[in-house]
Amino acid sequence: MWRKILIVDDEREFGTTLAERLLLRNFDAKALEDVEKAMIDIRQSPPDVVLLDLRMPGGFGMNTIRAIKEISPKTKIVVITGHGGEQNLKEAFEKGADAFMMKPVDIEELLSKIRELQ
Amino acid sequence: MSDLTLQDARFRFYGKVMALCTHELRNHLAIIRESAGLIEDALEFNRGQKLDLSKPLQNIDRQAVRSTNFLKVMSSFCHRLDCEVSSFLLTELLDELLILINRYLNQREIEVVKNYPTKDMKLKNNPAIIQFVLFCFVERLSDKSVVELTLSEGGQSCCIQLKTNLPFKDISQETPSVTPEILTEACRLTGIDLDLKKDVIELTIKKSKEEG
Repeated sequence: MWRKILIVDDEREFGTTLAERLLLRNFDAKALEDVEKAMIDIRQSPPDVVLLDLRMPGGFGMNTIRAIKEISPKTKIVVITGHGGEQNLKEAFEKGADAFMMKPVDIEELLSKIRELQ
Repeated sequence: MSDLTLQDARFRFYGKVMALCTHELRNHLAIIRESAGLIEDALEFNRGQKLDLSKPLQNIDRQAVRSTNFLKVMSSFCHRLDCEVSSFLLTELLDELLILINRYLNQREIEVVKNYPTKDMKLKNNPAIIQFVLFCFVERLSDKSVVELTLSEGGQSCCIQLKTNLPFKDISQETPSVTPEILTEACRLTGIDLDLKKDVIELTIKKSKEEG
């Protein structure tokens, strides 16, 4: 089972709380609010899974998907966003996202999605 | 595209704003859900250990307040459509729109510097169309713009000025749903006199419709 999960979301409370919940489930999880910091982190220590918000200041998630895949092709990307829309979903998968979930998420559903990707 | 009417463009505007609002509220709810989940987890996983539930409880409370404030603004925005013409305070009208589209501005790294007069301006006009016209120009701001939003009052009119450090984007390419004809029609209905320059846009609203 994959263990290393990076959450990239500009809603700090969301990221840190989800990370805490994943830690309680024995995942090596951490949250970052900044895309640039996240890219450095991924380069230094590629996670198994990135939970990525789609729309963030300083780097739209869509471009970030491709950038993550270039740095770490094996890392799976689960897009978690409050911004819905068919177009977004389609574009996210085209750019390389592996799964897509709308906020708010159910943690069991999220874990099940991650298991499916393994 | 030439068949599009002002009404079509306004529907799209409301669609965009509502999508931004749902995005915002989904984020509040996501934090509430995770915080409630963390409390549940703490009870389940940390039995016997010292539990600090204050943080998730504070999160829930903060997000409830955040949502309540946001919904208040959203409700006011929606009720602008109740009457075609109504009395309103100009700064309130502009702030309402800016709050609702704040996420959009952040995503595009657009900074709005407000330069409001101390005395607010009360107008009687079509507030919904004024917000629509303003949003049309916000959409045309370049990413990473710093825009100065200045309100001023003359003898017979008041003026909304948007001055940006980066040039406005081409109207036809970026927002094809809002043609120059549609903007002209929106301005005609509200008595807005539009002055477009490379980096400054001025919307002068005649005071003839001002409430006495």
